[in-house]
Amino acid sequence: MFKKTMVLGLICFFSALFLSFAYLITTPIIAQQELKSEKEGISDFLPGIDKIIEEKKGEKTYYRCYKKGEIVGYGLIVFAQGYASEIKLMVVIDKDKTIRGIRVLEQRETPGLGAKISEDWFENQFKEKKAEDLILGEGIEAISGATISSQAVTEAVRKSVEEFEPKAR
Amino acid sequence: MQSRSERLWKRVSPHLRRGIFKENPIFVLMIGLCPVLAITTSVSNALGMGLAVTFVLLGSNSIISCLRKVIPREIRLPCFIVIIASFVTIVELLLKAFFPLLDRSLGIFVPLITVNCIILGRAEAFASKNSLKDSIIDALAIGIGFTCALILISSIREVLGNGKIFGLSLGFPPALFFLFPAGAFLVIGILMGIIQFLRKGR
Repeated sequence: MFKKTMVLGLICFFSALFLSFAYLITTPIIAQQELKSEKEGISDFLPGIDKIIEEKKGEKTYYRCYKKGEIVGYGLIVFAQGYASEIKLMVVIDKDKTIRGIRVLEQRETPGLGAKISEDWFENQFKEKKAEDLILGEGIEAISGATISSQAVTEAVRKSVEEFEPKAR
Repeated sequence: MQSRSERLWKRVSPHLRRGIFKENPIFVLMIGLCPVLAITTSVSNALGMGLAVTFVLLGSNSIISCLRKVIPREIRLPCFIVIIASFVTIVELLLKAFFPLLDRSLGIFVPLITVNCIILGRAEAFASKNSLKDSIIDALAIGIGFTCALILISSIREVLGNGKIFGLSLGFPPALFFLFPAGAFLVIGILMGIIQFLRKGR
């Protein structure tokens, strides 16, 4: 009995030890990757920006983007409840709240159907639009076979842009 | 040198043939089908999943084979699962750190490799009874067999369901049906039928 406990205990101990090393080594790289994919989205849509400052307002996170010391736009982190998962989006707008572009950062929608929200043609539909243009079937074309995912993204982007008020500085 | 590599090939090739054809985990043993249905919608996902499973299988088979004389029979299953889960977690962390795109498209099916019965099956049926060398060869053979099967299924589903191959349109309207799990069952079933027919020779 004692031997069995020892063996299982030792296996668990070494696994945990091994895993903590792997975790320690990969955590900073993973954090960097996430930040990079967020910031890459912003600078693609607002070319020439030289400073990005993260800001939190309540539960929401957004990024203020500067070009030569002046604010040129904002990057908003937006969550939408999709068909199979929570969708994380980056919505980049300029000072007059015109959408410069959106990017899907995270999603677990059905591959081949809802997952198409992260394809370029779908994301590009949002470019140069105002919040009031974002209506599925008019301004934005839905993905065939994935109305719920398309609707979720469109609604979440519209609402977040409508409600967005930068913090007074 | 010539004879050495020949000897190695002689030792490996029957295992390879067994992994890919005679004991192919998907088409013949029919185990580990859940992730197969879910991720074979595109060839790149299938390749990523196949390699991830092969890596876990290689790690778990070698450790379990090394410890086969130490692990008492009665508690072998918890021991195996702890070892397998550790390797899966490492794969998950590595994917997140170095292949974030692949990680995003495989999603929940990476952590679920832990409960993939191919891996526990090989631990129980092979690695816990054979030497380290044979266990490594077995892991490679079964892993390659699994990857080949995934690529075969996903290329059929991607072509029929998306109407595209390597991003190029093939010029016919895609049948979305093949991207649903039901389409996966149909494709796998027909492939199994063909393979059984060829194996039995009639």
